[in-house]
Amino acid sequence: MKEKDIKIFIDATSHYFEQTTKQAATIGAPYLSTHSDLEHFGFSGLIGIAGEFRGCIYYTAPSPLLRHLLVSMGESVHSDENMLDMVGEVANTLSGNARKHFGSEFIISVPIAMQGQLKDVKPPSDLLPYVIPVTWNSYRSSLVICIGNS
Amino acid sequence: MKIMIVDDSKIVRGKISQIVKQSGDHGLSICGMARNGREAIQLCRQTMPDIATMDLTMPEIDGVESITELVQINPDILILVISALADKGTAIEALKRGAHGFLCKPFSEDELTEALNELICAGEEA
Repeated sequence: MKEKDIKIFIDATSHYFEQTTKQAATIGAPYLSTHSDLEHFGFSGLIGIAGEFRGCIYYTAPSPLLRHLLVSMGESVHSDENMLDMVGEVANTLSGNARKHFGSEFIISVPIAMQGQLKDVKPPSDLLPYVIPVTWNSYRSSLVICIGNS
Repeated sequence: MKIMIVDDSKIVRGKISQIVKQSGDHGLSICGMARNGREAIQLCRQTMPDIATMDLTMPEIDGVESITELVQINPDILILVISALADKGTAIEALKRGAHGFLCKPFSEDELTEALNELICAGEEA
């Protein structure tokens, strides 16, 4: 992953919150993490990457942030089911938007949404994850990018 | 005009539905919603919609395959792709298969209304 690759995800994230909520998100400095140090915020939407690339991308956020996002989408029912749908849709949108830069061989899966820790998710151990901290409406969340070439 | 909404996200289906209902233009009425391509094909056979909004990344049968099927069922259907897949290749493939417009997620209310208006105008001119 190069700096310009990370910038694609930063721009997609900024655009998502601006467009969906009319309220800008604050994007923190991206950093390289380790699999054991990754922070989870309660709900996560994960996208598998295939084609010329491999790995995964996930967005993890706490329930209050997702409740506010649901309101922005005009959804009044703030059930766990709807928060899972919402976190999956955020991950799907940010990953799909990245194809503008990576091209159509950046193949993305349908989102897998999870509540709690990502116990069953095993990102490729040879790829270190980049974390992009995202603060919106005072709530912290993260976009985690763990991808490399096939 | 009857419109069918296809997206695997219930939240996105709800947002599109809300915007369609609020716009009030062209007398659009929602004839059904589908969560994947298989449901979309079934719904298309049952209700013969004039318009479909179509997500692309979906389980079972994806949006691109669904477009081909929908056009075979109803050659006059107007299809607006609403997808996060922002690369040119995907848009061109969808248009080749028979879609009439492409709107990239995330979208605003104004963008969706404008895209639907353009789609309907293009359909009337054809």
